[in-house]
Amino acid sequence: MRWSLIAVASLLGLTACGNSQDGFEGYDAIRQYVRAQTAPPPQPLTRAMIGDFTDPLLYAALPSRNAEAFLGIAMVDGPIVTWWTQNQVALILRDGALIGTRGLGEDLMASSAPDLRVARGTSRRINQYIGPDDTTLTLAWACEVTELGMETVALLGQAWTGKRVDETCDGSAGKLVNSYWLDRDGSIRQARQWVSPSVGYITIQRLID
Amino acid sequence: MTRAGNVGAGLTGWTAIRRSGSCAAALGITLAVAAGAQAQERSRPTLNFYGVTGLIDMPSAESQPNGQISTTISNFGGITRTTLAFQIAPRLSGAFRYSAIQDWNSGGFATYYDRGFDLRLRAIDEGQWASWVPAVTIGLQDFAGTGLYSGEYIVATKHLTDQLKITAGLGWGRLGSSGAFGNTGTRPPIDIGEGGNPNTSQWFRGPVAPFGGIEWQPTDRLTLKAEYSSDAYTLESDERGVFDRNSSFNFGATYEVADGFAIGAYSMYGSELGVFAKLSFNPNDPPNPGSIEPAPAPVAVRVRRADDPGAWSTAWTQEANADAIIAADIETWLAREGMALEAFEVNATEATLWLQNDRYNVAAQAIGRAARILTRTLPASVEVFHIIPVHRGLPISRITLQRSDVEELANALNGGAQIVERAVFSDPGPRPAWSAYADGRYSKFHWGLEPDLELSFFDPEQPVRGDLDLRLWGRYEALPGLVLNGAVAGRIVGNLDQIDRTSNSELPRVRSDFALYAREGDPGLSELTAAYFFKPGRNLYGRATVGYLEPMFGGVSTELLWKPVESRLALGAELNYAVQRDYDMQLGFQDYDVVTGHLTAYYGFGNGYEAQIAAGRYLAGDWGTTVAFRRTFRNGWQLGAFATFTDVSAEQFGEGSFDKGIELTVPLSWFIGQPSRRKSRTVLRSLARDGGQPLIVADRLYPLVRDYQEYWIDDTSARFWR
Repeated sequence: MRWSLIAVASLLGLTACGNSQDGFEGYDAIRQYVRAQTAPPPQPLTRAMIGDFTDPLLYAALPSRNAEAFLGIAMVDGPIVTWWTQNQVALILRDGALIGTRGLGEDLMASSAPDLRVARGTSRRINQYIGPDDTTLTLAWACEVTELGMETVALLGQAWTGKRVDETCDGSAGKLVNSYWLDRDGSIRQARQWVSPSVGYITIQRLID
Repeated sequence: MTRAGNVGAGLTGWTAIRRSGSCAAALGITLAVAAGAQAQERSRPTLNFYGVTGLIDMPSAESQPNGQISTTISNFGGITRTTLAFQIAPRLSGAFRYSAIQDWNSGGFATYYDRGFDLRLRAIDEGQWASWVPAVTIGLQDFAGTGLYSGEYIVATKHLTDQLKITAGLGWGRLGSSGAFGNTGTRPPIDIGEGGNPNTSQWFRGPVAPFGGIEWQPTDRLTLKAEYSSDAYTLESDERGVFDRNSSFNFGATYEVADGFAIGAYSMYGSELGVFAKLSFNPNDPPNPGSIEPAPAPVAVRVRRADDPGAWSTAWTQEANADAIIAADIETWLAREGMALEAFEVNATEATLWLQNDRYNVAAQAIGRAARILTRTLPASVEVFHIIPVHRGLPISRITLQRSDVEELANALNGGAQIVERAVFSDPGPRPAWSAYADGRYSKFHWGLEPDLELSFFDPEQPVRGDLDLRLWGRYEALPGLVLNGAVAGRIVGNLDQIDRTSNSELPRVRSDFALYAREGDPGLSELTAAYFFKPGRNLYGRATVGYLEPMFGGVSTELLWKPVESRLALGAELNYAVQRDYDMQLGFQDYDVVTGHLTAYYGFGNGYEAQIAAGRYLAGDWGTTVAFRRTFRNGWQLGAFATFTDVSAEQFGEGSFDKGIELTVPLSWFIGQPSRRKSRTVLRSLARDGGQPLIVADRLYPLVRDYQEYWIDDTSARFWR
């Protein structure tokens, strides 16, 4: 939010304080904004922070926001796992491939992401969003899934080698390349996937199974 | 049953994605993407000095993007025009203009002020039947009222290249006053009277003249224009000497400084420098894409019955207080997501949740979140969820969902549309039994302190006046449906009290004394009421309000609304007895009282377009009809226009002939990129007179009921799973 928008919202009487939701929000939004503008930059995440934590843990990095986070499991529904951060930003993965985000702004609402254990060759990707007019916006791509051989990557500072598979897509919304690094059993250990125009790519690493 | 555990909470103290700080970055990216998208095939449709899509002083045939709201201010030769324009639908646009002409020195006006309305319809799209077909627009300029600028036109625009377009048109009235080549009948003089009426007998009559021009957009931001004007400016140039019209040719440039903000400079009529500024935006293009509120609690999917029959047992119904324990659990989850449990009932297979939504401006999102919470809190045997949104204690609709559908569709493609398609909407029935209500739900006091901007427009001595008030309000929800409301307001800064014109109205001064209220009622009691909301029968909603209803009137207001949940049509009846309050806005009354009320029909056409027609008696005792059209965007923006015609003659009504205006509602959520039910509504009346004035009452039923009913939830289903 920009200062000019705060000024407009204040003038329109959209801000207030009080004890109820409908009175408080405008004021709260301004306070949040000011706090965010003045807060010190967050400490980078390191392996040392994990300590002796043993529950399943995901690491995610979002370069467009200069943000990173650890995520824990919120819900398991067969192959679909919902992970969330402490402040309830959620990533929804199906067999490790991103099919949804919640709380990132321009969220991915649903996706036909491929099953990387079996999908190779040509495929079709459909992503859905809430468009600027609050209707469902569907973007479609024609994709090619190819194996690129073994590659060593850093999982939060720790070297790890796995098979890289790229999903190269071309569609009306432009080109995108999603990259996946697979474990020996074919499951996704690390992935770099495109979320939406304003969120860009997100990198996800499975740190603790 | 919830396999979620508290892993998320276990991460306390760790660095997490910072949501609130990311807006600026997100915005930067949006602008970059938008700018990239604008290196597109076609040049942008620009605005003219009248604030409508066009060349410099002449119109063109293009339209703005659907929903675009533009404000422009232009000045040349002592003429200033301020215009608010709205692209009502892809083909239809409207504009409201306020003009000031200096050095008029006639009829008692040194500077002459004039208001006017335009309507434009794009009849043919560019390339509609063949690639050579131009866009064609038919327009009415300043079609009502004194008609100072009245003119009609048919205009065509065609792109020669993506950056170059030509426009040619035929104009009547003002736009047929220079270089006319023929006549279509005779144009009768305007019967001004008190102004304000459509001048239908004039339209497309009289001399007709050609106009035209070219526009070239060499870069993304710069547009160069040249035109031949068919407006002779006879009145301004020859009669009043406002400026000299030495040429029919105008030319100049417009520069888009930032998205939505443009400035321009032009050579006008061979004698004057014209300047122009535009600020425009689209409700369908929010400052931040999407929204950043926390993720909803995920759907908990039940184990299959075959895998664990025990989990599906209904033995839990035999446990003491099972329903109270479940209700408390639901309440906790709802509170985390800004909602409240009003009441709850459950049996072995069905649950009913009366839901109070205090956060989500889109009802579908509130229903979706409540449904997810029910999957996390109810025993596996409960398959049917009835969710009944409640507002001011009034049950509004019943949305029935199958739990299996919720489990199946939460992460599915087109999940929102599918779940709403499978949902069953029905009448919510009467209020639940007292035993079903949550403990402590009632006897709650809410209060708030907020700034409040009050504006008065079009006073000839000072076109815009305003007060910035500080408003302290309280609301006590005593029992289901019984609400006590109060508010006091005091001025921080403003000049509404400095209006020294006294009302010259021949009618009871029900509104025209507003300056006296502003002056003497500071601070004043703006509202003190008791309201009761009830459900008298199937498809019926009722309200009775008593007390100090609004700043100028107190009394009793009663309302009954018929609105089947699946219907696009609603019918309302309202009957009020109102007594005028003292100017000091304390507890006293004056000796004017009136019985006022209306029968109203509401119709929703879909996509947020609504019409409303009301017939009845207004505050001054006049009888008549109000017609209103409104477009509501899914994100809560609303733009509407209304007009009221009563048995008060134009002479009695005074300037403007009848009551009319524009209303604009602005939602907070659009600015902050997260849900909020807070919004601000402004009514722009062309003049505050006494005829055709309705009583103001808080919480009229139709807007309250409409948001939670079938077709609007259907329209906004994209947010169900957000």
